[in-house]
Amino acid sequence: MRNTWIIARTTLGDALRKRVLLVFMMVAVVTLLLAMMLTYLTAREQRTAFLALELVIILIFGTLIAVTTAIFLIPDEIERRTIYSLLSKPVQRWEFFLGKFLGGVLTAGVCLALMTLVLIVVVFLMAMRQPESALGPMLQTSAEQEPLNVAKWFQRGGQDVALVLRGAYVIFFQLVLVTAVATTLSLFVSPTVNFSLTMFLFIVGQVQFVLKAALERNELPLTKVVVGVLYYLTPHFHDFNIMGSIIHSEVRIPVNHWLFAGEVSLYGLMYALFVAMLGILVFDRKEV
Amino acid sequence: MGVAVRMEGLTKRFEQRGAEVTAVDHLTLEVQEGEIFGFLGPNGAGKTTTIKILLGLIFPNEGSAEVLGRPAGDLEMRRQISYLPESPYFYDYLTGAELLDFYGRLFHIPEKERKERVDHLLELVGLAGDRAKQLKQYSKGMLQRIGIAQALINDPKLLFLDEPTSGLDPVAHIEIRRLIENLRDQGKTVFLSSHQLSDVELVCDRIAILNYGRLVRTGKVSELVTGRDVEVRARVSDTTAERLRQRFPNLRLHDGIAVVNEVPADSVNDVVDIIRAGQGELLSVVPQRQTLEDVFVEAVGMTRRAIGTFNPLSEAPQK
Repeated sequence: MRNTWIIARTTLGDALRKRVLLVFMMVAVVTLLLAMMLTYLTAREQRTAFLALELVIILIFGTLIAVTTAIFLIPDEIERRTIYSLLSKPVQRWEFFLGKFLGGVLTAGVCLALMTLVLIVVVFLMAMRQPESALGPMLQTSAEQEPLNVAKWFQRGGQDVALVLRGAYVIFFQLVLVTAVATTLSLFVSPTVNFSLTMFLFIVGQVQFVLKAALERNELPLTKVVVGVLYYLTPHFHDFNIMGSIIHSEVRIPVNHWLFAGEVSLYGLMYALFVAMLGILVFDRKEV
Repeated sequence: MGVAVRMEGLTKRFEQRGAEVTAVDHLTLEVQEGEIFGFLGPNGAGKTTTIKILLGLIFPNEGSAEVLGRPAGDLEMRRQISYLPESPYFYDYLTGAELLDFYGRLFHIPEKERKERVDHLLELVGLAGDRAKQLKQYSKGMLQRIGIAQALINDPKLLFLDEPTSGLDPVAHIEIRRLIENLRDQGKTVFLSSHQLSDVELVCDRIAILNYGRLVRTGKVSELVTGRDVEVRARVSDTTAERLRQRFPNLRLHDGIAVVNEVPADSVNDVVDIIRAGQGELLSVVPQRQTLEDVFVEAVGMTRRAIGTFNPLSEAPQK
């Protein structure tokens, strides 16, 4: 496992210097800041819509970063021949694969942490301006505004930061899963095909409820089989969705937050490990 | 001395545009411990493919290979060997010192020892002053030198060097050659794949020439470059010269001195007998020495003639 960690750290260092990743990060941060301009909504709408929108932005850019990193993790090593020096050292092939995968996860994690940090700053900025809610009405006149109470400000901001952190936690496990899928697929297909396939799986996974409904309603055996395969085999990203509970605060997730967090992280990790195991088995006999 | 590398009937085939290409064809070869072994052949001969099989990067279709008494690619074997790929590429955001430290970590070398080795190796390859530079700022020659340093980080028993002097200026070229000679003095085995025949001739104990994946010549360098033919010079009469010319039409006669080239070693006595019988004066009998280049061209040329015209292997990928 020591070699896995050494390779993962080097992979992170290598990935963080990729221009495409920096571009995605910059666009993501700008988008997160631009979303602050959503001031035309009502107080409650604004708070909920704002947080949900910001988390969706983080999810989309996080996924793009995770996928564009993972699809090149192993092909780049082969293309640049760095894999020859690595695999001629006492490094097991599974250590190498897991190291690359873990490096991809770390890269996605670091980017997610940075985006979350930006969002936390934004949330506190918004809380400073809004007396009633962290993201309450912004259309008040200056006469209506109370002087800034730091304690209240922190309390308001803190409530929304808790939501942001919950969202980021769940997004992280989606990124772990996406990284595992893209890393394993990179052993079979070119980076372009891999990108398309992984994004397809991600989108299908996000609309699992549509597949479920189709499965229940559809009578044609062939369609039922196709939809069934898609439903059961694709990662259930929809189950990671906590945006609903943010938007509709009255709609509680049927379990407590800790249990929900435990469930999604366990599901994400199990699925990712299964996919990674598949990748390890294939990579063990792959000629480089 | 034991056997460092053993290959028996090693065969590797690739699919290329729907056709099967044999990159290594029933290769049987042994490299002894402590020797510098030159592995020669034109582009696409199967040299890199063979090395990759020995390292476990690719797998043979037939045959077997052992390195330091263990199966090719074995983890324990990889602790004791090292590899310098042709035109090496490393993570270019790392500095020279960081790169060596990274590879040192993969061998689990303790930190203090690792630091000492990194310092020593940077000094050895002449990069101590550039240790803090990122590899993307290194020239091709510097990359080659840091590649050699990484190949020495684990103090290996056996080194696989694929074109180690490629891209180096003449001075660096000589330094690397001396380094390889030093490795031999330390009792290490070097498996050297190179196109630099002059280097190979100078440093290698034995060589193998590969063409179209087949072994076409192997032996000690000293034996291969020592020709079996002899040049004989003698002061002879015209009659004796005529007698000699009948057996050796390439005889040259100038001012009464006959020079006969390419006399097979087993015919030297006959030539001397003719000269003595004609009351001639034998001036010199000199073995004709070939260069490794001559040996290489002859071996490769013979194979090409034997195989015929175009062989797709000459275009085979360096798998």
